[in-house]
Amino acid sequence: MIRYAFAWTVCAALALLGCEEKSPRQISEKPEREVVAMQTRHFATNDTRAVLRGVVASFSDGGYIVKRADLSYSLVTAIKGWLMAEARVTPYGASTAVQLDVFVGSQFASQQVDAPEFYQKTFYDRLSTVLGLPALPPP
Amino acid sequence: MGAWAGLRGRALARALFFALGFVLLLDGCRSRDHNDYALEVANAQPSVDSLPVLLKAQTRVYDGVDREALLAAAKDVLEAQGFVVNPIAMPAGILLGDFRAQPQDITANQIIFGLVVALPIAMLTGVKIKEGPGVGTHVPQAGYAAIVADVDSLAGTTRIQLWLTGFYGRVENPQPYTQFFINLSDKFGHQPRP
Repeated sequence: MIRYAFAWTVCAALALLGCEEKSPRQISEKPEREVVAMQTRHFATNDTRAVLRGVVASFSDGGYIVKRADLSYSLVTAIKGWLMAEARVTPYGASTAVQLDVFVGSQFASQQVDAPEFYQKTFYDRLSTVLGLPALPPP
Repeated sequence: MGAWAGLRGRALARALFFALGFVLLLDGCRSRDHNDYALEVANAQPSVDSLPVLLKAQTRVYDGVDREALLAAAKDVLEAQGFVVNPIAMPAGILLGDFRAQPQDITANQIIFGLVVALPIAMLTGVKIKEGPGVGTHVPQAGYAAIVADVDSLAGTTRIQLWLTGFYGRVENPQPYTQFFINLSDKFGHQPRP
């Protein structure tokens, strides 16, 4: 009995240790403009639904679980391990803009990914191949 | 049922609690930069050898068919395989399925192994344990399905792609993809091209 009580206490302590010093959703300390620029690419097509399909295909190719694809908000959400990704597809003149926002963590504590190479190499390079269009930086 | 009978409620609760403590401990101890972690996880892919096989298995092309009808048939096939399908994005050529395994399909050993070993390792390192109890390489343990159907109006074709994904990454065994397309052809009444 004492052995179990000890084990439960250790587990509870470890759980609390893992949770300490974390705020729910930490956004990047980099300037917002810089973050938006690394997260956003434009594609020379006005077919937003084709881009939406491309986003789902790119996530799936990358091993993400696509949790939701919402036509009303042109929003795709996906997860992979502790990565939580949200891609928003919006018409922008004759082109279509995609903004990908990725957090590491859980819904209780997460931190925004703010490495430009993450967005370019692990997502936009793939999306560009899927769509057959170059991923252009925001104007 | 035998396995379930052997696993009493308290034992299951204990296993869950230990797994939670283990995950949170590793998470708390993780000192890596979150960007490095994100890159590592995002770059975790199926083995290079399996990619061409996977690409071939997950894609079919249908000549002169109606995309909506094809997706409706695909939805029926997924549902018959036990997926709960979200058809909200169907007008855009997207289907998402969520597999809810029935309790009798899962053994106690699979739950414990999955929670205590495979899931924490996969979530923290992005490394998949490919074989072993509770580690799915076939549809009943796949977890999620995504289908994208693209119409090429010039060629008069519809290309349909299927992805099966579990908590441990993409399902690399081509068999469940092949089986899905066999079932789809039976349901839809048209034969596709690879």
